[in-house]
Amino acid sequence: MAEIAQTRTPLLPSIPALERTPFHPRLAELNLANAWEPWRGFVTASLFYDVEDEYFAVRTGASLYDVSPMLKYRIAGPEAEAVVDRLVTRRIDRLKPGRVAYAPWCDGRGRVVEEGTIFRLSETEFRINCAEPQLTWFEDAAWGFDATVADVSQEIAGLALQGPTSKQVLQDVGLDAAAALPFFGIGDFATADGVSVTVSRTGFTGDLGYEIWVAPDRALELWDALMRRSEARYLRPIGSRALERTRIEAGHILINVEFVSARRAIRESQTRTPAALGLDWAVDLSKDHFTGKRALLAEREAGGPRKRLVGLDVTGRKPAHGAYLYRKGKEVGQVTSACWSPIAKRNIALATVDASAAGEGTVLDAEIYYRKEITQGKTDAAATVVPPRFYQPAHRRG
Amino acid sequence: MSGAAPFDALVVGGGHNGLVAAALLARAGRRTLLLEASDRLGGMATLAQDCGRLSPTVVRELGLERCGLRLSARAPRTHLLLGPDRRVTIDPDDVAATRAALAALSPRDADAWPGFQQRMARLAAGLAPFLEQTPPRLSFSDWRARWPLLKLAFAVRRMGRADMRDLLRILPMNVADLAEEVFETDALQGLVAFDAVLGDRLGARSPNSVFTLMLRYAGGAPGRPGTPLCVEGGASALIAALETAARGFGAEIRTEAPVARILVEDGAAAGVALEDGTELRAPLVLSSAHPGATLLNLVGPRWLDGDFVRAVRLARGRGVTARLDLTLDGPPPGLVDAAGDRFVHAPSIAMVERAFDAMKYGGVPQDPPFALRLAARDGALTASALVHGAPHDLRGADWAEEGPRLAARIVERLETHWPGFKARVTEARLTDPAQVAARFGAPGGHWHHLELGLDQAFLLRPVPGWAQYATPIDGLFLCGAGAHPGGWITGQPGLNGARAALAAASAGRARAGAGGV
Repeated sequence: MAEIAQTRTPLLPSIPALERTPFHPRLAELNLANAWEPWRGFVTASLFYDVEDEYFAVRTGASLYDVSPMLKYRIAGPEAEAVVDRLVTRRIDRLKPGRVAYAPWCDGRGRVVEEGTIFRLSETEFRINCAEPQLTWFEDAAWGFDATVADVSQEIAGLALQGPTSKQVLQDVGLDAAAALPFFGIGDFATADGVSVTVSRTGFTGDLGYEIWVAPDRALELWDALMRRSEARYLRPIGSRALERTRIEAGHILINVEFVSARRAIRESQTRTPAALGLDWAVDLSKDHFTGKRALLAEREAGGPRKRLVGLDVTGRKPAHGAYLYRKGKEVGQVTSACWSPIAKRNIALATVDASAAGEGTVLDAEIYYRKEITQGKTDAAATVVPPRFYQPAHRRG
Repeated sequence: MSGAAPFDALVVGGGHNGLVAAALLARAGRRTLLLEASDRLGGMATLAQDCGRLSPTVVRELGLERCGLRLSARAPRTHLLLGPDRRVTIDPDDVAATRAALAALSPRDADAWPGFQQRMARLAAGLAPFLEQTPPRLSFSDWRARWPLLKLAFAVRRMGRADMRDLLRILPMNVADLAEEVFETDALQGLVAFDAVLGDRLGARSPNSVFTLMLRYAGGAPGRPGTPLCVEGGASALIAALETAARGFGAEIRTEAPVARILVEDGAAAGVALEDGTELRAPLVLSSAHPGATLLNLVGPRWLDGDFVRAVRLARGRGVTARLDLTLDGPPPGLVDAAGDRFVHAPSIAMVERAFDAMKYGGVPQDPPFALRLAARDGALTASALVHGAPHDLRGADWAEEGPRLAARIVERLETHWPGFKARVTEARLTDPAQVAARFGAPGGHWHHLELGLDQAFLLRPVPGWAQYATPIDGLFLCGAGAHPGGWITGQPGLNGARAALAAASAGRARAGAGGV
């Protein structure tokens, strides 16, 4: 009898469907929960053992999070500064070599394509870190300028070292000079073991922290050196769940959660301008032309965005995931991210609401749905509009 | 802006559209300076064989007939070249003779011809509101913005149900399918196909070639829908009349003044810098040059959004049309009173399509279709042919070699149609798209700057979202063939562009007045 056709169908690929980062061998050993998730084609840890332990490592000790799947683009050439300056909403001519800037970039309609950190490595070389592929967008931005764009994501592995003891961890491994970097500074260093690294004083947790960039073939050496200080400095590897909580506390927006990239949104209503995301501070409308400037000037002239991202302080302890928000019975918005903040001891959320309901101190009614064993529960809570920086310890800049 | 600027408006490019715009601006009382790079006015119009689609509004608004423009009552005849001394003549002014001539080919086609002409003219008239007006903005946020769209919808509705259906059915079709529906002889099918594709990168079986055919029936002689307007003296007479009109209204014209840059200050046009370094300042700049040349070269990407630059770069405009100029030492044998007539070599759909097949892959067709015209100039007889067979993106060869070869093949082809023709030719000179590109600053060397497909028409010309002649640079307007309604010698882009600039300038003045500090 002939073989049944289906049995020959390669239902599963013979190679792992997700790529592994250079740190994966160490992460796999430590991942007692065996909890993984995909991140841009890579397998990445959701959790190692206990989300509370990992969270408190970020807030009271130090943490390592593998950021190797982040996309990294090199923009270099005599006119690289002009390219980046026209690309993003902030003044890049004022960004000195050895400094980092956070900025969104927009399309011609002023809608945010993405946001990320911009490393000025030298007068003529920049590196932009972001979450979604931007090669064609950056190449279009560089068209007509004397500059080249390259995707260097695979050439650089990265670890986010975050938490109050992260400075000591760096000193412990011989990176004293890196530990002394100013907030949003960047430089090239070598560990006591001779591993060359680039360290930026950046991060996603709102805490004191650094990101360490290393060649993939030296990644494990770096990991081992850092993790030798695990006991002394309460240094823990963390997964995405603990990170998520810290980034909400820090009030950092997340693509595909707080907004959809202007290039990928199916519905224009899901895209946002920088002002709508609370990123006015990162937009300089008085600088020379940048992509989206005319649309953003028009938005300002029309009185600003119709929806705004706000922070919410919610009564009770039920995280307001996806909660509907009402004001005087009229729906005015929705929660995009929410959690209980252990460090602030507050029930916090990020939400997008009508501009009329975005004033600080406005009290909204939140309709929160939650799991009640096998049924869904519903509770009403008061949600007060607050600035979205829920946790900003002074030591992060110290 | 300092009040010292001696000009209110600068017009870049001295082709017919630039001249129309300059004349209109000057007529509106703006101190206007037109800058032409070469030593003579006319631009690409100097390569055209006729101005049959000149907008009657342009003629009227600028009083061109007072400026020496003479419109002839006689429409040009078309002779189909069908073999040695075998010609079939279509004379729009002599219906009976045309009928008799076509009946020799096919009595059915002789029947069908006048009906087809009327049908195309009627449908083209239905398109007229779209072609003449500034395209509306696709904005649904307020009712005022929807009015122009509604008005267009009403205009289409006025055509009646049958014509509307017909238009919607055939507009995106390929011309070969339509020609085969209507005619049975290769000769008429070939003529219709050739008329549809000439000037554009199309074959007889390319989609929406019926649209480009229909454009030839739009505008034209007043009171004679679908019939081309005949300007005595052709394009050069039109250019002379436009120059007289522009100067008459007070516009200043400078030739040999190539613009190197459009000056942008604070996101707004501030004037231009010439190649010799002279800076000329004015709050309004209108460019009749190619949209890519204007925005990417003269303005530069630094002042434009990245996605806009991409859209401008992607606008299709690689030319396939060449002009062949022949000097003759006497009239070709057996020819009487043929000046101004058109001789078309396009004997079938298949040959038109085969020519395109070659060009698709960057090759030069062996036997391209062409239209020849005879003219008497300075006592000498000249002939010029527009040839659908010269891809700008030639592969594995260059025009310096291929040009003379193509010219020789066309002369040979004329000899087969017209024994004794070749002996009269004393000089043959081909202007290929590369030369057009270089001479007129139009990257791609396309006769309409940008291809005239449905994807680059109306709301989508030159790029989607920017069909109102304005550009992202305040005070900079497009007024050339790259803007709606596109190429051919209509003057309509110049007219609409100048009107848009004037409207914006007075609105800006009103705003500045109202918000005065």
